[in-house]
Amino acid sequence: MSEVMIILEREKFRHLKGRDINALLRENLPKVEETLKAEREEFLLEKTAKLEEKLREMTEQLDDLREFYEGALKDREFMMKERDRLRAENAELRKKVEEKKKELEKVHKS
Amino acid sequence: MKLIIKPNRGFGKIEVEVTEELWREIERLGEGYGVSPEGIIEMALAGQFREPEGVLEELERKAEELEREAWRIEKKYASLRYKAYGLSEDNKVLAIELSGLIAENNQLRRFLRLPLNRNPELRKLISYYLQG
Repeated sequence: MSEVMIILEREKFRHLKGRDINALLRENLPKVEETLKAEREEFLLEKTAKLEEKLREMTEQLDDLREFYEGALKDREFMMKERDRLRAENAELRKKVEEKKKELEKVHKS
Repeated sequence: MKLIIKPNRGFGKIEVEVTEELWREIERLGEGYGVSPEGIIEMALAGQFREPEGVLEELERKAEELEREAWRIEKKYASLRYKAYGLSEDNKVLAIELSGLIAENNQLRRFLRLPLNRNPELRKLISYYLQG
């Protein structure tokens, strides 16, 4: 036969002597359920407060990241434009340099 | 089910047979709230009870919503971080290319005796992405 053992504080144990334990359990189980509900409420109150705090932090981090991303997008646009401009300008300048070199060679030969 | 109750100090014990119907109720409660049957019995016998505020369902719903919202933001953050990393790497490659182009531009301008392009905004960006 299976059995369970409960250890109670001596004072509480004394109060149970001579009482109908089944009746007491039956009477108190609804109160236990209410107590468990109260404990769950307490747990959930703490949990939701922590989650709200976490959400605030996460939203801030997301905003910062979004700001960084948008800034990096603008930087890319700007750098690509500058790259195209410099490529064109350097090609133009290389031509001028070639022309100048040829002129100098001519001067040297003559 | 046989229930044995003992004091934490001293002698004596109470032995009682818990009815099957009562034991089922104890187990149901325990499973519903994640407490062992022994825990339920101890609470019932200790006699220290509390009253709930009556907002349990509302709190369960709120916690669930907040968890969903946190998960949604986490996914958004992870995806944006991935994109931002890729973009940052692209910008780094661009910065390397640009610093080469600027060096060439300066060299060509010196040769042609033209004034050099300062372009401080671009230089600042290049050094930012090369450091990152």
